This record gives sequence, C-alpha cells and structure tokens, in this order.
Amino acid sequence: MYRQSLWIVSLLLFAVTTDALAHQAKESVTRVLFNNRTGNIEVMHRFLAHDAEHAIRQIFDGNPDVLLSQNERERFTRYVSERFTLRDQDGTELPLHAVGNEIDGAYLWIYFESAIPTTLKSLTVTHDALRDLWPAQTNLVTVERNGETASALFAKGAESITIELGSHSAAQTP
Amino acid sequence: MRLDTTNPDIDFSRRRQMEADKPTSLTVQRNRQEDKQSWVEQNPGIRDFYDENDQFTVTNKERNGYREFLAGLEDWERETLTRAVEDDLNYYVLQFSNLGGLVMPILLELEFADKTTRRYEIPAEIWRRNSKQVKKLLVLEKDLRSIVVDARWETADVDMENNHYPRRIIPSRIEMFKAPPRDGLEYRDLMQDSKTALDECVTDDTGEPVDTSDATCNAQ
Repeated sequence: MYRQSLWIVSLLLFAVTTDALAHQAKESVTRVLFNNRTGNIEVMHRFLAHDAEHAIRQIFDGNPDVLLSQNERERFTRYVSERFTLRDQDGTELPLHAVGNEIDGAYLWIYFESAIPTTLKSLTVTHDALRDLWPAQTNLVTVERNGETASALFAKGAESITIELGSHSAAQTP
Repeated sequence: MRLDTTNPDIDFSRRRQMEADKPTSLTVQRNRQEDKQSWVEQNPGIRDFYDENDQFTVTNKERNGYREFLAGLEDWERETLTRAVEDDLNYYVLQFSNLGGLVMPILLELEFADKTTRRYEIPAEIWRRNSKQVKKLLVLEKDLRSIVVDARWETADVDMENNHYPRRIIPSRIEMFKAPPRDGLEYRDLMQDSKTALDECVTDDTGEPVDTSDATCNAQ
C-alpha cells in the first residue's frame, strides 16, 4: 500500500513538473547578424510563444492570445524594443527599426534592423526583455560578423555585455 | 582536375584546347565584325615559322625529355602511370575546415555535369590526425559541377552558408521575412479552403449564367 501511494505521488509530481516546463521556458535566443549583402545589422529575437503570452498578461493585462492577435504581438514588439539596445564604442545607441514579427511553430520571432555603421569597433548589448518580470529569465545573444560568432548570456545580474568585434571577446558589466 | 600525362604529344594538345576555350578578345571580335585583316593576312608571302607554329607545338626536345622521364621510373611506377593515363579519370582534392570544434562525419552530395547526383559519406575518423583541417582526394569518372556538405541537415551544423561549392547565397531569416509571400498550389491552406461555401449562380445583365458549366445555375 505504501509503495503504491509512493508511485501515485511520484506520478503526480512528474505530471506537475512536465506541465510547468511545457508552459514557460524563461529563455530567449537573439541572433545579431551583420549582413554585408544588405548593409544591415539584423536582430532576430526568438521567444517561446507561451512566455510572451504570460508577459502580455502581466505587463499589459491584455489578451494573451499571441498566436492570433497581431495587435498583441506588436505591443510585445514595442516592449522588447524598449529593453534591447546596441551601442557602439562611443556609447551611441544604434537606431533599431522594427521589421516585423511572426509565429513559427511554438516560437514568436521579432525582427529589427539597423544600418551597419562605417566604423564599429565594439558592440555593447543590453537585453532586459522579460528579465524585469522573472528573475529566472535568461537571454542569450549571439553576434555573427564575417563568419565569426560571439555570444553573450544575460542572466542573474548581467546588465550590459560589450563584444569587441575585432577579436570577438565579450566583457560583462554587472 | 585532369591528370597531366607528362606526354607532350597529349598534354600540349590539351593545353592548346584550353587556350582556345578562353573568351575571344573584344579587339579580335570587332576586327572580325568590321572585316579587318592583319598585315600577315593581307600579305601571305611574309608568313614565317612563327605563323605556322604556336607555343603549343611539340618538338623533339620535349619528346626526348618525356622518354628520359619514363626511363627514370621504376617498372611499377611506369605501369601505374600508363594505367592512370588510360583510365583518364577526374581528380579532386577537397579541403575541409572544422570551424565549430566538434568532429562530425562529412556527408557530401556531389552533382555531376550530366545532372546526376551521388552521396559520398566520409566517416568522422578522417579528423583523427588533424581535427582542424583535412583534405580528401576523390577520383571520379564524371566531371564534378557542385558539392554540398550535409545537404539533408543530418549533422549538428549551425552555419549552412559555407556548405556549398560553388558558393551559394543563403538568405537570412529577415531577408526571407521581407520577401514576397510564396504562391502556388502547394502553399494553399487546403484544409481551410475546403470549408468555403460555393457562391450562388452569377448571371449577366440578360440573366444568363456567366459560367455555363456552373452546376448551381443548371439546377435553378
């Protein structure tokens, strides 16, 4: 009897855990690509749609049905644009223009771009989207330029991360 | 890449053909269009030795050199050379770089001049002596036109842009997002479209159905 109860409790715990995992990942991946063909820095944010739904409910108290509402997706795009910045070596913020957003499978993709500056020695990245809501949120940013890739992980106390574009070494500012 | 036979009677002729396959210069083309003739063409009497022979003319000096080369070979080397010349196969040296760090099998898709394709799989053991860069010699009967590494996305490759030879432009995700939506029968939402109700019979000013083959019009 004791063993049977233990099995039932274990199964319930497993069900609760998997259910929680299925809803929120609290992780996002952003690809910053220097596209020499178009002359633009392309920023591609990938959020789990469920994360975006929860965020919309908390931030805007709005309809969290991200999958159907273009309006809610654009509100979330504006929210991300206010929390993601790219700055050059002088601290000047690069103007990021929203290109659009789309749902692809379980993910919400948000696109921005900016013209590649003539002189760019380093890139300072800040990415606070969803981190103001959940302390566990981690945002991974990869920067790709001329075939070289550098990555910056925004977790815990990381506020801004500077990537030297010549050698692609990343320095973190707590 | 074709093997040099070292026989001047064969190799010089091939090199003459390679030179002839180069694009004709604009000067020569325009002279032909204007029917202009060179001084030698206008005066055949001044033609000399250098007008009859080009840089690819074989002399006995080259033939003697070839004979000396053959004489200096071991028997097995001579047999190998003879067999290679008779087979007349194509030789390709492919160089691969390991940019990501993780060694993987190299899965190739080869496309030949006759449009046929062939898969060629190199096991991961090729990286055992040098995990940064390796070379592989392929000996093929047909002319190679293009090569794709991991064409079916079977390995953990994060950058597909450098998988093609000749180089191919892979549009970024934003470029694809900006591109006009794809149309064509295969892109229809067939399940949704199949729920569409049929419109009623459409008639012209005289009351005749616009589409005479319309079944709903015939039923009325």
